[in-house]
Amino acid sequence: MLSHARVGTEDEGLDLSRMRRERRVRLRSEMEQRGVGALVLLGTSAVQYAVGASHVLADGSHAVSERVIAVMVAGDELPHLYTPYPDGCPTELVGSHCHPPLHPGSPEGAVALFTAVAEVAGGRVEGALAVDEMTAPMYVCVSRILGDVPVVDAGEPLAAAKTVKTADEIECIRRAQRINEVAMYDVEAMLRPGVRQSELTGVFLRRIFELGATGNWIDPIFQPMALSIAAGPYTTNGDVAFPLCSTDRILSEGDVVWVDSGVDYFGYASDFGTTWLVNDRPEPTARQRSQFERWKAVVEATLSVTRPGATGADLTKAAIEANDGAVPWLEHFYLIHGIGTSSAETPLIGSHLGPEFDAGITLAPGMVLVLEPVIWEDGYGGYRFEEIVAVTEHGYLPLGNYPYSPFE
Amino acid sequence: MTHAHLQDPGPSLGTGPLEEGGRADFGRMRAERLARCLAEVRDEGLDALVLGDESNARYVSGARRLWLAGTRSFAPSCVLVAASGSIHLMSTWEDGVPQEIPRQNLFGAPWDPGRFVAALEGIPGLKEARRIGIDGMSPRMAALVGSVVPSAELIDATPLLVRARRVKTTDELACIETAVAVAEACLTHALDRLRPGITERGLFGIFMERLGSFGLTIPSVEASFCVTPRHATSAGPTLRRIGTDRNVNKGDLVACDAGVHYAGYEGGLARTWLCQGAVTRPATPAQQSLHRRWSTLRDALLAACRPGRPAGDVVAAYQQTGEPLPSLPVLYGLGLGMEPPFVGAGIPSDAGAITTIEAGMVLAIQGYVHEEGTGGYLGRDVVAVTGDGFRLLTRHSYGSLAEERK
Repeated sequence: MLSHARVGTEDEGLDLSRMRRERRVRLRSEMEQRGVGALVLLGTSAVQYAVGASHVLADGSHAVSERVIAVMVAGDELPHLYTPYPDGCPTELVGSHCHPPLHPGSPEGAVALFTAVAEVAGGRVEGALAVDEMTAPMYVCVSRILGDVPVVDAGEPLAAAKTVKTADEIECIRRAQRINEVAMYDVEAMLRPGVRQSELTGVFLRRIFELGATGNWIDPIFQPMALSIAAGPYTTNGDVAFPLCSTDRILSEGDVVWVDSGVDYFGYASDFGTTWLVNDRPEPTARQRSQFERWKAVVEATLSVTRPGATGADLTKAAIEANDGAVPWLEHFYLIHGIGTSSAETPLIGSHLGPEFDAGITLAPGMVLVLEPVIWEDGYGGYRFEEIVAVTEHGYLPLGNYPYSPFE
Repeated sequence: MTHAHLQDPGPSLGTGPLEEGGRADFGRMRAERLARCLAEVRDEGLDALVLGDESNARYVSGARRLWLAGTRSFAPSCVLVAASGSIHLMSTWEDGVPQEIPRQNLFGAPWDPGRFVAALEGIPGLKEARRIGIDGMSPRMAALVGSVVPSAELIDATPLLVRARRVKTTDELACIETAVAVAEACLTHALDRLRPGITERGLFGIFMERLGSFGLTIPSVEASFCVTPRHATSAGPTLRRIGTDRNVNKGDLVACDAGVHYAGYEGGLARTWLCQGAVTRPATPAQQSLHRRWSTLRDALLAACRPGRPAGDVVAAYQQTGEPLPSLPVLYGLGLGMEPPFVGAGIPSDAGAITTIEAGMVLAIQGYVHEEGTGGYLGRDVVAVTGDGFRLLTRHSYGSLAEERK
């Protein structure tokens, strides 16, 4: 039985301060292995991972104009936080490691950022400077302020630290998913011919915030699918156009709607995807039901090989075999993506990086995977649902629990 | 405040089309924006722009792409070639892409560096570009772009984009006015439900539900309803900006910071509201006095929003009222979201204070005042700068705090 009460903040199952500490240990270890003397993070998800400050999710224009920035330097256990939201500063950083915001979008501001980096690094950066995003003024002034320090992309050390989750991280994702699902019961209940996409979004957002979500990552998708690729919008790769932005579009009798959404719980994203039918009495046709059955077979086959030691290629092989040799996912996405402080992060399995890349990915306990196979019969539409699981010592643990309604 | 600042916006405040025209003309808006951009690009002697910032990309292309919260990962997602004026966009489909951008100018997302490089190499005129303007990207992306145009000089295009975007066209202004009106409607809806026991985030959810009834779904900032602390502490600031799941109680002053997008354009405001039970009681004299302080402050800030004056003058205007500068921008621009000029304590002067205010700019002015034992008061209003002053776009009431006790 799902609880409709608010999902709590902290209890025995979740220790946010332990979570922050364990993430810092991982990140520092990745910095050391790569000879990174200073890690400078400007991206919302990356800063969230390194610091764990309470945050305000906002449109990108606000996120870059009132930036939250993290700087980690070798030899210091704690990151420095530069924030316009001091009320979100974690207790361990209050005082020495919490600073007023920086504004690297302008030349003076970019100089101030690198000056601050040099200062907390004790005068100069020893080793490489790893950065996730740089504004144009930062490129202009970096060597002037920090000397000839090598600038490397922070993507690699971040991905290496983030891919395997701690128990607290998994609990955050589980709670995000729970909130997302509970909110979707109300949305599904109001799905009927004549409702607007934006109205579904409105109810969804009201519910997630009632239920204790700390934010919303993506404008929810409620896309009526054209029955054939040719009948839908043109795509560069000839595949199904999905996901398309929601508007005030009115949903009509007979629409097959693919849903996608993701909420935030203390920095962690959920990923909810399903297929709904807009009908006075939603009842799948025999063909729609067979698409669903095939989707389920693909997921079951993929999960049957999901365990530590399996490679990404083992999973794609199982999925393709269960689909009679055809690739059961969208060409512009993947069969599987990871999830954490980003709604899609490593490992990406089945992307167009190719089979060799997939063979290089080995599953480990603590990875959280979102399986998003798609069954498409051109001319007859298709079925898509997202299954979210954590890899455990011996197999996997589902983190979601939403029914495949109205298909079973 | 005189009535001259409150001109009737006419029939422009609505989200649906009018068959005779009269609301925003999006085709004209895109054409005028692109023309401004190309003029700046050519003045700077640039051969191309390679843009990662979503609002810059939207300004240039007019594309409506999937909204994601937070910073984007700074992959170039829009390329403008100066000689041809052609726009190339990262989009796997044509949905949301304006008709003037042909299909062959679309390219997919760069999971695969090889494909991404091939997409950039396929853009006519980019490989030959000598001076390329950028707004920022990850070091990895910078290396990929560098491999396509190894001998090109990469130049900070931020200033020229700020110049192009600063003064709004008629259609942009109509979008901002509509967004302001919708934000005010959503705020009214949430404030009607401000009762003891509701949570701060719950109020934001109610705000967003009303937004959906306008056919819109995008907020500017989330979870922005915060009980203001009555007491300053040595450890904590008196200004809270992050809504939580705490309950709002009777007598709390709630700072409401609200904003929405219409066609990408932002409108918003901040008001501070008294949480009451079912019966509305007058605010206390101390609470009313807080409102008077904001009111004085607001008039001083508005008086500084005059064409020809540096935007940084609002700082002196703020300080002359005797109020301490808050840790917020006290002035910023509105357009495709929050944009320069940014003015306030700790903000570098080249981010906005040295900008001269011009007719056609849309500016938000805001302030925060606090009284020990009473609480805080956050206010924000939006003006469109005119030839000889400004027009106030925010019309929402100040509620019971503004009413004098009978």
